[in-house]
Amino acid sequence: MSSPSDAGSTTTAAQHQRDWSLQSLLIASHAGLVAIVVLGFGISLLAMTIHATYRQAEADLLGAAQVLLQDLGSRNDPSGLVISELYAHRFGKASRDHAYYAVWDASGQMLASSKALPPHAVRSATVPPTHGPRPFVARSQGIYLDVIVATPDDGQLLIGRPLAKEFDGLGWTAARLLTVGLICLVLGGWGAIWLARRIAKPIERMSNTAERITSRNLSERLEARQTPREITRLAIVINTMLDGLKSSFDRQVRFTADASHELRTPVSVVLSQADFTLSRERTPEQYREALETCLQSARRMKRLVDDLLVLSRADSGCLNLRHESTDLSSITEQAVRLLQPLADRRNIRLQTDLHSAPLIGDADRLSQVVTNLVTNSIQYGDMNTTVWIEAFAKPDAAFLVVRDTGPGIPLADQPHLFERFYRVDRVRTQEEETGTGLGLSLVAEIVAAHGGTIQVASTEGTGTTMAVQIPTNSHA
Amino acid sequence: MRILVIEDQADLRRLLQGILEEDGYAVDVAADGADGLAKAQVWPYDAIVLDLMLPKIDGWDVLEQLRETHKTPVLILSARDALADRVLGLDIGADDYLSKPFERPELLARLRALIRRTAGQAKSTLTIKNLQVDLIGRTITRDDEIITLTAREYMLFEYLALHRGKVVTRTELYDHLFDENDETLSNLLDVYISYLRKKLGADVIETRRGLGYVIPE
Repeated sequence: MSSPSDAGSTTTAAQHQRDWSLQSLLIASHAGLVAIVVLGFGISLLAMTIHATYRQAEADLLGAAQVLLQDLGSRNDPSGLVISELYAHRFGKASRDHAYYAVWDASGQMLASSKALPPHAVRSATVPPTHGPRPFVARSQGIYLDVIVATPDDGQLLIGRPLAKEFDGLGWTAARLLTVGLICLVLGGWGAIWLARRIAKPIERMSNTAERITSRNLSERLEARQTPREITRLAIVINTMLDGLKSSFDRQVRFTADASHELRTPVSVVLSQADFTLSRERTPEQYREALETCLQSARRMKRLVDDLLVLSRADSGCLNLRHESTDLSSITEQAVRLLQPLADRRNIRLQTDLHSAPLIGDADRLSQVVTNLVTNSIQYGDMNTTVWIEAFAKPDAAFLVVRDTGPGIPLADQPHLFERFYRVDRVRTQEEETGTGLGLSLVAEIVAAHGGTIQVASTEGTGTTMAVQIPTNSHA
Repeated sequence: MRILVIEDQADLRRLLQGILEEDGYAVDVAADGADGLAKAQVWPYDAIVLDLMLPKIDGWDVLEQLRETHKTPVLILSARDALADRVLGLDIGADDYLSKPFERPELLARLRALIRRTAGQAKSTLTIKNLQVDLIGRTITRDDEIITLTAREYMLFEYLALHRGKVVTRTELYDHLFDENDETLSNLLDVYISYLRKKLGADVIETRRGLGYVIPE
C-alpha cells in the first residue's frame, strides 16, 4: 500500500547518491581505506600480543609444574607442596595473582591442592601427553589459565593462575593501539581532504571557465597551470577542441557574411531596377529591358542559392550521394555538349578524348564537377583557344583531366583556390556570366564525397590543368 | 551636375546611370578601378559613386590615390556593410557611405546633400532676388507660382545658383553639365541661358563678356 511513496524515496536516495561530489567521494574512499588498514593492523597486532602472552604464561606455568613434579617425586606426602617462591615474581605478588595447584592420583583421587582452589580447577578428562612439543593440557577459563601435566604414577598435576597482570598489560596495549589508530585516521582523513581538494579544485576552475564559453565567446581558454598531469592533459585536449571549434565557427561566420555580400548586388539590381522603372511611365521597350535585367539578377541569385544549398548539405554531411553504376566518360560527354554554346560565344574549341571509365557514384553531381571545371576554363581562358577534356580509367580509379591555355593561376592564389567565394581576379570573368565564387568549392566537396582527390597544375601565362581522380571500387 | 559611377557589375552600372541621368545629372561610368581613377583625376566631377570590390584597383585604393590630389565628393556604394568597412571608408576620405541593397530616393538625396554641402550651402532652399529655389524638390517658385524648367535648364541654373557671386566659365559649365559622350554643340549653352532668362527674368543671370556667367550675390 505504501509502494508509491517507497518508490519516490528510492529515487531521491538514488539522486542523492548520484549527487555526491567527486571531492566527497575521494575523501570517503580515502578515509575508508585508512580506517580499514588501521583497524586490520591494530586487530592483528592485538591478537598476536594476546597469543604471545598466553604462550609465555603457559611456559611459565609449565616450568612451575616441572619444579612441583620434582618436588612431588622427592617426598612421600604430597600435602606439603608449595609453589616455588622463584615464580612469585613472575606470576605477580598481589593476592589476585596467586597461583594454585592440585594433584590427583591415577584413580582421580585428589592428593593435595593449594588452599584457594577456584571451582573450575578439576582434573582433565583427557590424559595429558608426556611427549611432543606440548607435553601438557592447557585450559583457560575466564582470566584463569591452567596447565595440567601427567605425574610419573599416571596421576595429574594442575597448576594455574589468574592472568590479571597480563590482562592489564593487554588493556594498555589495546588502548595505545586505539590512540595511534585514531591519530592515523585523523592524519589520513586530513590527507584525503587535501588530496581531494587538489584534484577537485582545478576541475572546478575548469568548469567555471567552461561555463563562460558560449557560441559568442569561443576565445576563452582553460587554464592548465599547476594542475595534476592528467588534468593538464584534459585542459589541453579541450583547448585544442575549442581551437578547432572556433576556427570552424569563424569560417562559418565568414561564409555567411560572404554569402549575404554576394546576394546584395543582385538584390540591389532587382530592387532599384523595379523602383526606377516604376517611377514613371516607360515605353514597352524599356519595360522589357528592365524585366530582362531583373530576370538575369534573379537567375544569378538562384545559382547562388542552389550552390549554397549543396555546400551546406555537404557541410552537414548529408550530400545524399546516389551510389549507382555510371561512366565518367559519358557524363563528361553530355556535360561538354551542353557547354558548347558557351564555348562558341568565346570561340573556344572543346577538344575531348574520352575512354570508358566506369565507377560507382552520383552521375548528376559528377556532371556538376565536369561543368564547373570546363566552364572555368572557358570563362577564365583566353578567347580563340582550345580546352582539352580527357576521361580515362586506370586499374583503381577513374580520371578526368581539364586543360586550358589560359592566363594561369598566380602561385599566391593557388592554395586558396578551393575556398568559398575566393576569386583569383574579377577582371578576368565575363561580365554577363559572373561565377558565384563557389564553383571550385563545390567541385572539391563533391570529389571528396566520392572519396577522390583533385590536383591543380598551373603556370602563369601558360595555362591550367585540373585532374580529378575518383576511386572506382570504394568511396565513402 | 556631373557624376562618375565606378561599378564593375554591368547591370548595376547601367541602372545607376539610368537613375542619375533621369534625375538630370550628366553621368560618366567606369567598369574598373583603373579607368575610374583616371577619369576622376581628369574631370571635375561634382560627385563620384564608388563601389569597393573592383577589378584592377580596388575601391579603397582608388579613393586613397584620388584624395592625394582631388577633393571631389565621394559616395561609397558597397555591399560591404560591416561597421569596420564604413568607418575605414569614411576615414580614408569618403564623404558618405551607402550599403547595398540601396533605395533609389536615398541615393539621390545623399548625392544632392553631398553636392550642396560641397558648394558651401547647408540649407536645402535658397533665395535669389524674388525667386525661391527648392534644391530637394528641384522647383523654382516666384510669388507662390512654380516655374517649370527642363532637367538640363534646372541643372544649369542650380550650378550657377550654388556658385552665386562667382563667375563661372563656359568650360566649367560644359564640364559639369555634359557627360563625356555628349556631343552637344557649344552654342547650346547660349540657348539654355536664353531660355532661363526668358523664364526667370532677364536680370537673374548676368553675362561677363569673355569670362562667363554669374548670378550676383
